[in-house]
Amino acid sequence: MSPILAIAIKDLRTFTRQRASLFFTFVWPLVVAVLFGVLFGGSDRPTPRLPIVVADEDGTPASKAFVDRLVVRDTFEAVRASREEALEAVRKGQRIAAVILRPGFGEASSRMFYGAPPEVELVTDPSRQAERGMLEGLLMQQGAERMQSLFTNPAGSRQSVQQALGERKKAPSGGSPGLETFLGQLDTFLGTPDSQQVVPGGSTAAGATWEPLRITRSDLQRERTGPRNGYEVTFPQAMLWAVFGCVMAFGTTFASERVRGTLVRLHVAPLSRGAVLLGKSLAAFFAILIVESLLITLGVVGFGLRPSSWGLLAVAIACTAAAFVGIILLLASMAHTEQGIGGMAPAVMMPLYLLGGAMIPLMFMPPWLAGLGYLSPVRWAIIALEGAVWRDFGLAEMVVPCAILLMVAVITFVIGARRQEAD
Amino acid sequence: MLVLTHIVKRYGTRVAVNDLSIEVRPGEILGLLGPNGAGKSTTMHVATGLLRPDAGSVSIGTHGPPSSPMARRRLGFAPQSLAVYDLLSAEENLAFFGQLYGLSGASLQARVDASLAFVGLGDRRRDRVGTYSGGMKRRLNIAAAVLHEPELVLLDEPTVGVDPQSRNAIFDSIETLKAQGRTLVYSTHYMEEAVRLCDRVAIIDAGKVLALDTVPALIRAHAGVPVLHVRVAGRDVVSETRDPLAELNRLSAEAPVESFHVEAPTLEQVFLSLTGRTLRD
Repeated sequence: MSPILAIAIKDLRTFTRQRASLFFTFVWPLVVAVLFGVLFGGSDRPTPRLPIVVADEDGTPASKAFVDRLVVRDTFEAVRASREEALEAVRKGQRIAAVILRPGFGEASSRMFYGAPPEVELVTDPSRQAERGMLEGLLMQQGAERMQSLFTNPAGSRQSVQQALGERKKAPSGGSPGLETFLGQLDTFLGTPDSQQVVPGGSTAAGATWEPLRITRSDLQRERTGPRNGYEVTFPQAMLWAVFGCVMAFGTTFASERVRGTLVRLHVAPLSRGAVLLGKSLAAFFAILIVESLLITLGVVGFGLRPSSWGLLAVAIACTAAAFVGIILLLASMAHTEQGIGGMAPAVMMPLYLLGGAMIPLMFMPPWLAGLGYLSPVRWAIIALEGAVWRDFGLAEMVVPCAILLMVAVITFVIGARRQEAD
Repeated sequence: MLVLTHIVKRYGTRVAVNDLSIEVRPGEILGLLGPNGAGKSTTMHVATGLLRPDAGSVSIGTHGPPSSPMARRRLGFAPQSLAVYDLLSAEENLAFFGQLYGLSGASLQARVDASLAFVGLGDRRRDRVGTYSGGMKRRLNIAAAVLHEPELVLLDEPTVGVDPQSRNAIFDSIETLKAQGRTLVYSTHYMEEAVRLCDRVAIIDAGKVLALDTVPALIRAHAGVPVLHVRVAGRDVVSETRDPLAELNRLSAEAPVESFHVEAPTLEQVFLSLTGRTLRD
C-alpha cells in the first residue's frame, strides 16, 4: 500500500472512531435536513386533514346544509357535537377548533346582499394558532360557495331572491332602489329557461355551473421545475453541514498531529511533506464523499429525493469535496493547535455558510447581502448540488458552479500547502 | 554513522544550537546530557532532518543528508512527545508506521509482532493506545522507531514521566538494540541514565558541546579527584586524593580507623565544573 493511501486510511479510521465528529458530520446534518424538510412542507404525501368539531345551534335546513358540506370537505376531519361537547373537545386538545353555527344562521343565509351575514363562531386551541388562519380561510371559502349555489339551484335561489325582494319593498322608504332593481332582474333571469340549460359540470357558458373562482392546481414537482418536496431543498443544505463537520474534524487532525508529535514521525519517514499533505487531504476528500453520498442515499430511500441527474450529482459532490479539502488545508495552516482550529474554523466558516444560504434561505436576506453570497463557496456548492437534485441543470449550467468550486480548491490547496511547507 | 558538523540553529535572535559538532560511531550509544533547554531536542531534530540548520551539515553514514529517502530509511526516531495515535491500537499504529517505510504483507506483520514483543506489549496489542499508561506509550513510541530495523536510532528523552518499571523495560530495550549492533543517540537530563547506558556522553549546554568522551574520561578530566572521609582516633579527616586506598593505608598506619567512605566524582560534578551550574538548575 502506498504511504499516501496508508495516511488516508489511518485518518479515516481515526475519524470514524471519534463519536463527536461522526455525530456532527452525519447525524446532525440528517436531523437538520429532516427537521427543516418537515417545516418546509417536506412530504409529497397528502396534507393531513384538520380535526375540527362542528356544533349547529341553529338547526335550520340552511345550517344543516352548511354543516353537511363542511363534514364532507377533504380538508377537514369534522365531527358533529353540541356546543359544550365541542368546547370540551378543543379544551382537551382532541380537536384543534370548534365551529359553532349560532342561532339565526339559516335566516341570515336567506338574505341576499343585505343585512347581517350568517355568523360562525370559531373557537381554537391556543396552542394551534398556526392553523387558525387556514381554518378561517377555508370557512370563508365555504361561505362564498353560498353564492355559487345561487346559480347551481336556480329554482331554490329564486325563492330566496323573491323573499328578499318582498322584504325590501316592505321596508320603509329610503332603501336602496338600485338593489331592488338588481334583485328584480335577477328574479327574472332565474325564471328564464336559460338559467336551467347548462348541465352541471359543464364549462362553456355562464349559468348553472358558474363559479366565483376556479383554482387550477399545477403540480410543480411532476413537471420538474421545482423541488419535489422540502427535503430536496434541505438535503443539499444538510450535505453542506456535513462538510462543515468534516472541515472541523480534519482541520483538527492536522493540528493534533502537530501537537502530539505524530507529524514529526511522518516527516522523518521516507516520504515528502507533499505526500503527507496529499494523504491527509485524500482522507478528508473521501470522508466528504462518503458522508454526502450517505446523506443522498438516505434522502432517496427515506425522503423521496429523486435527483434529476446522478452523474451531475456525482460531479457536484466531487467538486464540493475538492473545494472544502483545500479550505481545510488552508485553515489548518493558519492555526497550530486544536484549540486554535476549534476557534478559528467556525469563525471563518459561519459567515461563509450564512452568506451561502446554508443557514437561512437567501430569500430572507436583503438583496445586497444575498448578492454577497456569490463570494462564498458554500453558495456555489449548494447551487451545484441543487442543480443536480431538483433544478434540472444540464452539463452547461453545471460548468460555472463546478468550475468555481475547483478554482477555490486549487487556490486554497496551493496556499495551504505552501504555508504548511514553510511551517 | 552520524556526523554533525558546525551546526548552528537559531529561533529568531535566540541561538538554540551554537557551532555544534558531533560524530557518532557505528554501534555505540552516544548520550546527549544537558538540562532542559540545552539544545538536545533541537540537535535531534536537525540530525533527523526535521529542522534545517542555519549553518553546518548533517550526514548519515554514506547515505548523505537526512533529507534523502535512503538516509531516512536507515533512521529511526522516537520523539520526546508520545508520537502515537490514541484512537488506534498498538498493532494498528505499528502497521501504519511500517507502511510509511514500505513494509507490507507478511513482512509487515512479522515486524509488528517482533516490535510489540520487543517492548513487551504483545498482550495489549489490540487495545487502543488511549487506554495505555504513560510508560506503555513510551515503549510503543520506541517500538515505532525501531519497527523498520534502522541502523541509527535517535531517542529523545525516552524515559520522561515513566514509572520505574517501564523505565527498566526501556533500558532493557535499549541494551538489546545495542547488542543487535545498532547505533543509538540518547538524549537525557538524567545523569544516571547516561552513566548506565552510554558509551560516550556529550555534555551540552546553551547549544554547545562542552565535552565529549566516555564517562570515566569525563570524570577524570573535569570532576576533580575522589574525596576520602575517614574517622581516625575520634577525629574526622577529609582528603582529596587520586588514590583513596593508599591514603587510607597511610592514615590507618598512624591510628586505628573507626570508619570511612569515599565520595567518588560524578557527571553532576563534571557538569558543575564545566558550567558552574547543576543539571537540575
